[in-house]
Amino acid sequence: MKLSEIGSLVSRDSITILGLGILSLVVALFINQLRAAPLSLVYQSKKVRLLGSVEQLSVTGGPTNESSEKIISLDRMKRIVEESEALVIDTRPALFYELGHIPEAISLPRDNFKAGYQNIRTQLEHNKSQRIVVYCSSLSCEDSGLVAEALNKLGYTNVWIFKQGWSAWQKANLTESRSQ
Amino acid sequence: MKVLLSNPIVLWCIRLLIGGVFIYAGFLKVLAPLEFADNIEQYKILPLFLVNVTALTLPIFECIVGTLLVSGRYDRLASSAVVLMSSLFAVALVSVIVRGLVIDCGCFGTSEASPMSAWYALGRNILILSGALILYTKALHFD
Repeated sequence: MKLSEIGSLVSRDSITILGLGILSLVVALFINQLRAAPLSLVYQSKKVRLLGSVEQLSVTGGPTNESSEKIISLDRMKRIVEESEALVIDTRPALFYELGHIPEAISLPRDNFKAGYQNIRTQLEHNKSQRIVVYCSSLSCEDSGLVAEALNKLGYTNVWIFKQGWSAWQKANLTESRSQ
Repeated sequence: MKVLLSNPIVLWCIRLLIGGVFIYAGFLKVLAPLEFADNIEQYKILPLFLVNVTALTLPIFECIVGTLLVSGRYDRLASSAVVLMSSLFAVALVSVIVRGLVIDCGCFGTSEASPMSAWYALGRNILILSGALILYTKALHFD
């Protein structure tokens, strides 16, 4: 095949691919309208969405002014779990929680905060100054920090973050729990 | 090797494998557009106003291209679209590695991010790109 023929095929394919892209956009917008909760065309960050959920949760007790993160180490976390010194919250998506989590931890996924909070509301709200430790998958995830901030805004005064998260817990070969 | 890559059964397997991967990956993302939008945002490449539109459109495009490839009737078109997409994904993944970002690639729905996930995704992507280039070359000869 000559080079000019290949060039002509490539340009014809490029136009068709562009057409397929436009078709995909139209189909995608149509499917999006059929969803129970269509995705807005403007992206909102995880933080903005989470704080939106916090605003929708009408809770007693105003927000605290806590802004600096309170971090705990793996060693401290081990003692907290062994001696049940705090309410431990797993902020990863529910599926990951079901596959394995720190013993006694409860699930409050960042990606479904509003519904998750309502599920565990009574457990949380009876004492807003109880020690709470949140964690997510690893140092690189932001879910624990975001949920800690949301809990601070909901009036919880003693929220700590186990930054190293689930991956450090697993690497240290510590006990795990699984949901049935 | 050349003989092997000219074997119609081998080509059929490559087509089915790549097409299947694209249909599967696209379908998973159609089901969870918000999570995919978060994945795209983590790459810090696209401007924010394009993130959700891309999260909605790309999975449908993947499904269409995957279906065309599996059908076996539009090999040249479908494989060139796969080459284009895989090349773009590879560039994005290389930029993630260079910038030292630890992200979940978002290739097959949500998974846990790890420092190696971009490397795994890049390796997978290079395999797909190679397969698509073989199909494209064969299709060009056929035409």
